[in-house]
Amino acid sequence: VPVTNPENVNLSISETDRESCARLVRASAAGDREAMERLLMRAQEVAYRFGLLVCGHAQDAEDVMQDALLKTYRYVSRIKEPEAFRTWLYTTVRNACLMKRRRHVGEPAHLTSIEQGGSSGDGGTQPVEVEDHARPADQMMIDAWVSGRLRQALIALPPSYRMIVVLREMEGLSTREVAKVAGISEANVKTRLHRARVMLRQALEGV
Amino acid sequence: MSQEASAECSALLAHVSAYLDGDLDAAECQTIELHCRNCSRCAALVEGLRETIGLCREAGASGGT
Repeated sequence: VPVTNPENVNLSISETDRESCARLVRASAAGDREAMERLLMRAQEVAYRFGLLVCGHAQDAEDVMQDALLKTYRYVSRIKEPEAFRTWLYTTVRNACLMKRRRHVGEPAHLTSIEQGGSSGDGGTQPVEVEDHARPADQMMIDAWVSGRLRQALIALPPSYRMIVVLREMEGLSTREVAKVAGISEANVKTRLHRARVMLRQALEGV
Repeated sequence: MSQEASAECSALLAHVSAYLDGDLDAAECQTIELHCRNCSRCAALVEGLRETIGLCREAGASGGT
């Protein structure tokens, strides 16, 4: 039975990418406007994609991306480790997503149906939200990026496990970097990653 | 080929991610590989996880990062 490691599959963050981001951070911090523009363009793509998978909503992903871009612009000169820019960016997006999630607590989990929401209880009527059945933009974005089988399996993962898989396997961060972004120990990252892989495998086999 | 889950199978499950990440030493890798030669269930598990990791990394690589 051939058993091989997936070492031949390249991880996403190459040393070149790290170095090129670090150069842009340093040049931006020194006042190079063109470097700042390039850095923000790169950050925009990364922050939106990660935010989309972690937050799960296009509007939230847009908001956290804007927040991350603003912080990049304002605080670029304070980034202590330019080589770790992507880690800093993921942490910023992850924190913004958590804030979003906390704000959403208390909001209704489901839209009220027309049949359920017609009466206000005092004999009058109240406005009814009508669910939009058009395919959401965030779903189309994820569709374009991730294949159907994997997409369904990823969406089924608990959000805290999905974040670990996205950072480690898809964005190519090291275990140490993932631990830093997620705010958990490296041992915990490995445990969650293992469980997530097993869940993904089971889901992929079930599709 | 044994089809019953054994203590060896449980040990493999606990270390399979470390094996696939290249975090085990040569002797530990050999133990897993020898076990997989005699246990089709564990061999399928290792292959399935390897394929899953590969799918994720390919999706990441095609994401323009």
